[in-house]
Amino acid sequence: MDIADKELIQRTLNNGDQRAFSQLVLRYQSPLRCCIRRWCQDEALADDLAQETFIKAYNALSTFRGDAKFSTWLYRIAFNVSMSEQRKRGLVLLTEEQEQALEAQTSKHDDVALCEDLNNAMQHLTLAQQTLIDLCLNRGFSHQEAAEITGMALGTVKSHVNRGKAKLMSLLAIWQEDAIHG
Amino acid sequence: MANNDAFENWLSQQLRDADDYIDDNGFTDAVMAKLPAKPLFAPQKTSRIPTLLALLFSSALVISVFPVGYVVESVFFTQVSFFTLALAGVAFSTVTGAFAIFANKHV
Repeated sequence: MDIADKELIQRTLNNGDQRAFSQLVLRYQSPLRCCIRRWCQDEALADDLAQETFIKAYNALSTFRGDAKFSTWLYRIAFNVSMSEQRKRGLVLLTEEQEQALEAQTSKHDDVALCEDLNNAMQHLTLAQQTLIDLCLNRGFSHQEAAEITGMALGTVKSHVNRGKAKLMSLLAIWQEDAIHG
Repeated sequence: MANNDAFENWLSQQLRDADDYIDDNGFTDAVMAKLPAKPLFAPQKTSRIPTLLALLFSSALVISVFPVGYVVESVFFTQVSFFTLALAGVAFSTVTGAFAIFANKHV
């Protein structure tokens, strides 16, 4: 039977039991590495960032208050670590206004770019849309939790998710019709 | 609306299917090897020293203003019985002991 995250955290903190923390790493390594790989598109770098995330989480474990899920707290660290790396490489999350301006410029090209591959279609989204679609529709976080992870306002999160979904809907229209209706 | 929900469910499923499980392959061991050797302890244990110092300071403050001489003099001159003094001693020990146990559990 799986031991709850909180129990493992308490064992790590109260007994100094590093094996309990290794259970948490084992539990979250795959989804977290998948998520960071999607954010930074570089497997080796993503694994380094995932390692950094777990080490930071361990060092800050005593500050985890338990009023949010451990996964939300962990993904928030991962998001900050990843965005810090992205900034070093000159990639930043744009503001909503900047994204709307960018979308207006590129929409003519995207109108005809119907995709039959989800990963390809995701590349047509802005970084914020990709991140939030992944967190909410793939990882199962609520909009509120995604807002906590990314530090964005709840309204901004909903807006990014809705616009990302609408864009994917148009990009994947034919493939989706085939998949749903055979 | 129903179309939107159907698309959301479909998209969610597609995203999950596209996410393969990544084998650990030594990842956890690599993380554990990089953790600080000194084990973590809960914050309440590391914050005991300042709290105990505050407790000692406040106790010293109370003792400094407590009229010890007056109390001893009053007890001596009013000739309180040995039984009453013993009872007072037991009561005082019980209260301070209970306080010490409470402080030890909550500090």
